[in-house]
Formats: sequence, structure tokens, C-alpha cells
Amino acid sequence: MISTVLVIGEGPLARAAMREISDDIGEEAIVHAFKRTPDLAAWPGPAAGATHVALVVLVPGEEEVVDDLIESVIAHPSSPDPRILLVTDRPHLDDISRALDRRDVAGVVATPWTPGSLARYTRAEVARWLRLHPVGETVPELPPVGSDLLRHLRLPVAEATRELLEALEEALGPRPRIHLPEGVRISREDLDMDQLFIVVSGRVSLAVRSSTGGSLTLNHTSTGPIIGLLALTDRRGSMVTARTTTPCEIVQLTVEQLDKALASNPRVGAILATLAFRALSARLRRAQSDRVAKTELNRKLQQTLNELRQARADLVAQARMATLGEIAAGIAHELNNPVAALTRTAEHLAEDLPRLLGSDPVAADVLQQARSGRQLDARDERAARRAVDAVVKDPVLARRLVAAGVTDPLQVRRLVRGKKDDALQHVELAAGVGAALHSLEIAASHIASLVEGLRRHARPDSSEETEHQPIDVLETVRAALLLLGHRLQDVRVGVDAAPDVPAVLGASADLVQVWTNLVTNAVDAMSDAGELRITLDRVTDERRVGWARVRVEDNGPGVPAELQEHVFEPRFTTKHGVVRFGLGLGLGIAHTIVHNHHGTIGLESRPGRTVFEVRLPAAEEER
Amino acid sequence: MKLTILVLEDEPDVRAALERDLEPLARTVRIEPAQDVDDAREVMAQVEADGDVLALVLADHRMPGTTGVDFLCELVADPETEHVATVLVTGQADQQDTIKAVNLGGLDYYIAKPWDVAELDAVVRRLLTDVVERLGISPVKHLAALDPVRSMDLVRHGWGDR
Repeated sequence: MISTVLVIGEGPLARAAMREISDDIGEEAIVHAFKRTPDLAAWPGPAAGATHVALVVLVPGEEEVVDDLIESVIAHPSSPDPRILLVTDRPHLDDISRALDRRDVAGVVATPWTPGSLARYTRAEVARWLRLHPVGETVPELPPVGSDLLRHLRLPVAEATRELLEALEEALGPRPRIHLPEGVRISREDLDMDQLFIVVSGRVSLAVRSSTGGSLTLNHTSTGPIIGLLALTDRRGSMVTARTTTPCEIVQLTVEQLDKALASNPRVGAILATLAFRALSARLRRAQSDRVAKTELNRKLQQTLNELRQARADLVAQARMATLGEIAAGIAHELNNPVAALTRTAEHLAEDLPRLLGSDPVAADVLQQARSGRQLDARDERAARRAVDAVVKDPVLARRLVAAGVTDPLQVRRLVRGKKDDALQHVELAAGVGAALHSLEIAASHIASLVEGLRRHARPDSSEETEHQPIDVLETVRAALLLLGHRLQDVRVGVDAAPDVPAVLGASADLVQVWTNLVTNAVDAMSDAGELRITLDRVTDERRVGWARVRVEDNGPGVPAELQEHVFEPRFTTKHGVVRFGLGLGLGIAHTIVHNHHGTIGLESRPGRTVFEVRLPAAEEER
Repeated sequence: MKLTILVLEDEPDVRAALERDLEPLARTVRIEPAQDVDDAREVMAQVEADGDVLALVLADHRMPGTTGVDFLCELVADPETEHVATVLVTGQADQQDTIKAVNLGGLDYYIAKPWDVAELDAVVRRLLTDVVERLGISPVKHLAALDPVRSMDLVRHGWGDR
């Protein structure tokens, strides 16, 4: 393969360069000459069978900016990535920074050059380019180096070590080989280092004591064959402990012996310098990669630390909730006593009052009836009033008697026989007392249900104690709807159950409570024209686990986005001036129960459509 | 013949409270409770059968089934009942519904819960007086339930111009 070389420039310098290069390399490359870079535009490109431009020898004119010249060269489609040799007689170059930054400049040759050297550089650069852009099977060798230093740097370490020993023995006579087993410390970080060891074979590790007391291995592969060289540099104590990790053969030199060898044989210095240089550069690379690894480790550590902090914060929050739960359970327990007292008192009053009222059977009846809280509907009330009015002939009195609960014409007759006003007052009082007792009992039972709700929420694990049985989910949904019958009068309720809804393991009373709470929540959110849909089906997740899925959907106004993530947190709600636990706590309880059943609960809501979705693992999955 | 006030309200407690506050009129006008619109229609049929005259309806705003607003609007639109005074009683003053009722439906009055007893009394008397005047019936038998000043004017100037 013929390579392509360009020489660009005007004047005697460019002509001399052209001459030397084409004379030398003419058989392996086609050399094209251009006076100026703009001339390149008209150049059709390399000859047939020749490579892209491998090398550009650029001889810039006095006024030309080298960066601009190079940029117009590499803009040519046939020279996307050439080696560039700059030939110049300028003592300073301040216009090649962009090209250097791109690593476009392979070298700078100052004039006058030693005849022949430009041709030699040209061959080397073309060979380099061919190694970087291999065509065909043959990759040209770079020209051999002539200097000792570069030669030694390129020798394998073992060979360089052998050459060093050879040079030392030329100066000092034969050196005894010392054979060491594994585990011998040949330098110690706490002792002065005043000798040099050359490791002929075997391996030595370098270690330092770490601040935490252990020992930290620094280097193994990068140790190199010379131990003690660093200590010689400033004659201080060794920084590390060197220990043989395999059986080793070493040669020992005192400082004086080394001094004598260096003075009498210049080869010793040359090889020693390259070996030291290589050992140091190996250790430096190792240190750099350690540093990169350390930075990465630090980053991971920081991330782990952040995760730990978050986990701790979560734990604290959980602990706080648990504490709140304990307190709530405690309060609930304490409230049981006063509530029981209230309930009992109402019962006692209801028993004692009729006795106090004595011989008045009407008043006692009225009281009991008012206490029952039963109210006539409007139709019955009108009928009762007509009947009573027929007896008393007074619509006002008839209304008041019926309102007080006196509807039996016989009783009415008995009442109005005597002093009408006194009798009326008496029954109205009795009705009032009965209504008050009724309110008292309602309030007490309300508190009792709040206490129960709190207790359930604080200790919802009651279900853990009961055996989890396979349960028909649809049945629990039906049971919940039955329980809620009175709340569902104003909404339309539809239940769709797929035939393959799997049974789940659980406590059916708990699941009934979940549906009760979800349905109550939905009904409360909807107005008159509410529509509630409950759908049950079976779903299989990406891990092929089967679940029973229950969706409770309403067409209410929806849950505001900012509240959606909080709906399962326990809270109190105020509705119609009454503080309720039922709702705020209800979703929280549902959440807890579902989790105790190893299920999930989620919410999807927008105005007009709110869906709570509960998934419970199918019973067959949990066995 | 008695003028009749229909109290249409689904909550028994509220119904009872309204009736109690209307008690001063109860010996003069007939007061009938109803719990929903169907019930109210039953009462209206009974009132007609008894030869009495439905004069005023107090209806709750929100009820299961037909709402109070719709019911009152029907009364206003029906020539048979257009003379009836219509009062909306509402606890949830939903403005849209209220505007619809009073503007489009031509309702006569709107009372917010909780009502003021004196206001209820004055409004009912005024509206009953309107009905008496509109129907051209003798106010004499109903005076105790009418606006005292205007009803005296009616008596003085003779109601029987027609």
C-alpha cells in the first residue's frame, strides 16, 4: 500500500523539505506539494490505490496562522486525521494552541535541520499513522530507538534487572544471591533504610500500618525489582514495610557499594534510573487508579449514608406513629369506663323515671317511646293527628299530643278528661325526658364506636390472632353492602363479579370492614345522583402471581391531587359540625387490614371518577 | 273552608320544628306535614277532597327523589296551582339552585336554615294575604293568620270587587 504525504508551503524551506522527503520515501509514498492550503480545495485526492493523507509536512509562511492552516488541512475529505509535522524557522510559536488541543500536531522541526533527519521523522510518522489506520495485514514496525534510556525503558523488567546485575558485577565483582523464604521483612517502615535490594526472582509486597492498627497492602504487582530506592533519595526512614510473599532470590547492596558501582560503570546509573522510573510510574498509575476507585467508593458511601438517613427518618416516623397508636389505644381504653358509665346511667334513669312518675301510665309510655327514638313518618303522623283531633277537636292540641307520642285514642281520652293543660304539659315533659335519654344513648354509642375505631386502628392486629381462612371475597362485599343498607338509599349500587375471582386467605370480618369503609367513603363523597360500582375480578401480575382485585368506584367530585397521597393516613374529619373518626380513620384502617392480608390498596381519582383498588393474594398463592 | 299550609321536609325533626313554629296559625289554617313529593301530592288530593284550599308550600331544598325546587317550580307552572305561595327552605344554600328556583321558577320566597321564627311568621302571613287577595276570597275567617294591616285594608275596601 502506497501512502500519501503532503508538503505544503512556499519558498526555499518548503522546497528543501520536499526534496529530502521525496528522495527518501519516494518508493513507499506519493508526495504531493502545495504552495498554499487553499490550493488543496482543487486537489482531487490521493492517487488510485494510495491511502488517505498519512502525513502533512507544513511549512507556514511568515504571516500565516498555523492553527488556521491546520484547520483547512483537516477540513479536506481526504485528510481527516493526518500526522502533521510543522517545519519552521520561527523561534516562537503562539498560534498552534487549538491544533495541540486536538492533538493534531505530531511534531515541530526547527530549521536548519540535520540533513536526513526530516526524512527519518517522516518515515516514523508515516509508520505511526499506518499503525493507527491499518490497511491489509502488514503493520509496519516503528524505527528502532538508538538511545540507551529509551532502549532500557522498552526492555522487559526481568531483562533490565539482569542487565543491572551484570553491570553491577562488572563493577563490584560477583554478588552473592540471597535466598529468602516467604514472610521476611526486608525493609521496615520504622527503621532507617541504608541499603538497596534487587529482587532477582519472587514477589515482594509493600505495606503500611494503617491508623486503625491493621496493615494496609499498597502494592503487589507494582512493587518492581528494586527495594529501598526511594529511601535513598532523601536518606530518610523507609515509608513502607517490604515483605516477601513468595520464596525470593535477592541481591543486597550497601550505599557504599552502590556508590562505587555508579562511579565506575555508567551503565549502572542508566539502568538503575530506568528501573526506578518504571517502578515509580507503575506505583503512580496504581495510586491514580486507587484514587479514582476511592472517589467512586466515597460516592457510593455517601449514597448509602443518605439511604441510611432516610431509613432512619422512616423508622422515626414509624416509631412516632406507633407511639401515637399506643397513646390512642390507651385513651380508647380509658374512655371505655366513662362511656360505660354514661350508658349505664341512661339505662338507670330510664328504669327509675317511670317509677318516679308513679301512677301515670301514659307518661311512662310516652317516655319509653321517645327514648326508643322512633319517629312517625309524615303519612302516619297525619293519620294519628286526624284520629286524635277527632277526640280533642283541637288541631294544635292534636299536633302536640301526637308529637309527644300519644296516639292511642283511649289514652287521649283519659288525658283530656282532667285538666287538659296539666296533662299535656306532663306528657310533653315525659316525651322531652325520653328524647333526652335517647340523645344520651346515641351520644354514648357514638363515643363507643369512636373508641372501637381507635382501638382497631391502634391494634388492628386482632386479625393476626384469628386463623386466616379461605374466604369468598364477593360474600364479604355483599355482607358490607347489607350492613350499609341504610346509607345506600340515595345512590345506585352495582356489583360486577367475574366468575373466576379467587378465594383469599383472611379474616372475613376484617375484609367486610375494608369494604364498609371504602363504600362509606364513596357514599359520603357523592351527592344525590351518586353511582357506586364495585367490580371483582382476578388479575395476574408480572411475576405470574394471582390476585383477587376489588375496585370500588364512585362518580363523586374526586380527591384533590394534593390529598391523594394522604388519604390512608389516619385523621379526623369534621362533617356537618360533627367530628367523625369513621372516614378519616376508615381509610387508614382499610389500609392496615389490607396490608395485614399481604395485599395492596391504591387510589386513582379525578373529578367524576374515583377508584379505590384493593388487591389480595389468591389463597392458592399463599399456601 | 280552610287555607292549608303544606310543610314538605324529609327530616322528621326539622318538619316538627317548622310545624311548632307555625303553631300560632294552627287554629286558623290547616297545617299538613309531608315527607316527600309523592306524599305531598297525596296531601294535596286530600285537601281538595276536604274542600280546603292549598295556599302555601314550605319545601325543603334537598330531598330524595324529586327535589323541593323542582316540586315548587311544577306548582308555579301548573295553572291549577299557580295561586299557591311557594317558599324554599334550605340548609345548604347552593347558590345555583337558589338562583334557578327564585329567578326561573318564580318562587315567592327563600328561607335559610336555621330560620328566624319572627321572619317565618311574617313571611307566611304576608304570602297567605297575597293568596287571599289573588283568589278574591273573604279574608274574614282567616284574619288570625294574615298580615294584620293589609288584611284590614282588604276588609275595609271590600274584597268582592269581582
